[in-house]
Amino acid sequence: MNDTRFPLRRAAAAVALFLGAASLARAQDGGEVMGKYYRVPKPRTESMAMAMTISKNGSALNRSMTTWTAGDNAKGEVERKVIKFSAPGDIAGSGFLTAKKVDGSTESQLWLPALGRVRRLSSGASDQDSAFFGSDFTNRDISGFIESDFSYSLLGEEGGHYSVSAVPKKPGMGYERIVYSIDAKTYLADRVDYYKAGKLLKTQELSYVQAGPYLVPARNSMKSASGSITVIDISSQKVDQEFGDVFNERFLKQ
Amino acid sequence: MARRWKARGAAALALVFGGSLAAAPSFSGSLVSRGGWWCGSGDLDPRTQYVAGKVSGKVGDPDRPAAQYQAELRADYDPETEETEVSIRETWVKAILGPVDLSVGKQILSWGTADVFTPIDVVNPRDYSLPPASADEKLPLTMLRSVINGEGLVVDLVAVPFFAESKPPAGRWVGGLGLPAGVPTSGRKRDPAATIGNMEFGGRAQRSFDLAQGLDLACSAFYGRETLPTAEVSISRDAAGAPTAAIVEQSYRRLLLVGLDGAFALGNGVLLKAEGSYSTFDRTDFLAPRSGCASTEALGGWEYTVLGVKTIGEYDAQWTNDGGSGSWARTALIVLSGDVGSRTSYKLTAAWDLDGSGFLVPQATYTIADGLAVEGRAYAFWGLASTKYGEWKDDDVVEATVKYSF
Repeated sequence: MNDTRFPLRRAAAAVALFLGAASLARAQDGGEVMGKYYRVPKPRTESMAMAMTISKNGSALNRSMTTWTAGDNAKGEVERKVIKFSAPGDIAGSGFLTAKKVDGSTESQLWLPALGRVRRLSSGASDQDSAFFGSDFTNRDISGFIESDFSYSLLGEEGGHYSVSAVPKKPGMGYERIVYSIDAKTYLADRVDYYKAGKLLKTQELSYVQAGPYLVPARNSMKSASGSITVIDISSQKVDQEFGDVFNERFLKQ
Repeated sequence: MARRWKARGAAALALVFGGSLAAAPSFSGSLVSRGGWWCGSGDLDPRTQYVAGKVSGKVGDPDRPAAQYQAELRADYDPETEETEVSIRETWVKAILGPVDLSVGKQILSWGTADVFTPIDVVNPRDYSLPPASADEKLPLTMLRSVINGEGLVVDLVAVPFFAESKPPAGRWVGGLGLPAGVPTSGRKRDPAATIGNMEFGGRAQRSFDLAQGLDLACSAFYGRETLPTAEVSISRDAAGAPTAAIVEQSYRRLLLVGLDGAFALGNGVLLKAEGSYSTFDRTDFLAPRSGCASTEALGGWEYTVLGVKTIGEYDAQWTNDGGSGSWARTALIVLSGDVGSRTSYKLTAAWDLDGSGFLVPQATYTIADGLAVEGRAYAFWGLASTKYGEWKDDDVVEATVKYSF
């Protein structure tokens, strides 16, 4: 008796698990996956050192910078970021300050020591699509996207990753389509393909490292179809630290 | 010359090493070699070559320093005269006292929002050796500066104890004074003495508003001097009225300037700029100035990026009172700039004056390696000889620069 009931129980449990999993999978449409991606807990504040290498045809240019970030659009906060360059010599001391509001509009200011003053920048679609300091990243790639600006569809799930297609709801978002590969456990993207005019324009790959309770990027690379690649190696990550009010002109100039 | 070199060198070295002891300093510098070619005559234009070294650092926590310092020394070599001049460039110490940044030393400050025409940015003298490039060539000035940082408000106060003149344009860029030919001419220049009465001072307050993508509004005032001299010519004549001698007396007029400026980043990528100033000279009545002793300059401009090309437009109008209805100068300007890949950038500046003259400056920069770049630039002028830029129409020049920064 027990011999027959046990397998039945196990079979029933397996069916229940399967049905449960199936219903979970059904619930996980592209929008939900990306909702979780956008809501992955982020540090309240974060600072890090970055070494950026732009390579093409065997030669490379390097940039070193430090960034400070705070705020989370997903929590209704303004996302603020300061980037200060320390090398090479011709751009050392330059700084960039952005404040990305929940509606996606971005306030940007630039400090160039040779100019001697902080310049307010316009931030339209074309500015956002301009290269970030000559790299394969655009300013838009660096400042990030707004969840509500895209429609999402789940393309599939394979090898512990969701593949989600994001299509802009309105023109002027820089790309025609973005395909995310999202880790099903962490809901972090480890590969992002950017399409324009029906062609793959560039591919971003990310790896992460544990910093306190968070997984934060350790390497962020962007490879363009033109053959150039930009790799940002990230180190000295500090999370949830009080670094005072650094999101102002005064800090930018110091 | 040698004595000046020694004095400046010793002062700079003292600052450099004194600063180095304070806290982890960083060293940087640049080596610049450049030359030109006059298109009209076909002559080469040997430009000064220079090497500059800088030490800078912070005292205390680098993210929240208690103080900062910088010392910069530059050696210019003039291949024409084969002379080397060593000068102290931006060299200062700054104490950070709560919301106040208090700095003293040779500094460069930039007031206003515009990029090419700068009606308010009059504090520092400039290097006018190549007049069309003077907007980029400010000379550091010894000053005491206090910047008060509030929530969305920055107040900048300066006091300049010693007057410093601009470097005047090279001879080919300057029109003659119309002196009679063959008449003995003598000159005299009256530099302002270093007295309390000759001090210059001013301030600027800027308020930022969280409107669209940001709005900055500022007002400025400066009581100082023009940094280029005004020439007065006295001609002695004999009984028959023929000129016998000419005396050219140069002086730097007192200047009282008030100005307003603003920048407004609209939500669609358009940045609007406006800047205006009203200046009076020689301590004339501010509201009822003597003839030739007041001027007003105003500009409106925009910035917009389209298809990866940044466009900057400015329209500048300048009025000088001359006793009658005044004289006007109006110039429209456009700057196009962008990047081609990670190594090449370009910039094209074109200006038209309403007198029918103008200039065009194409420029391209290529980064060979980290910190090493070559730049090519040309200046082309057009217009009648009597017009603002037309008087330079024989001065078209092409130049090349190699710069290494470390």
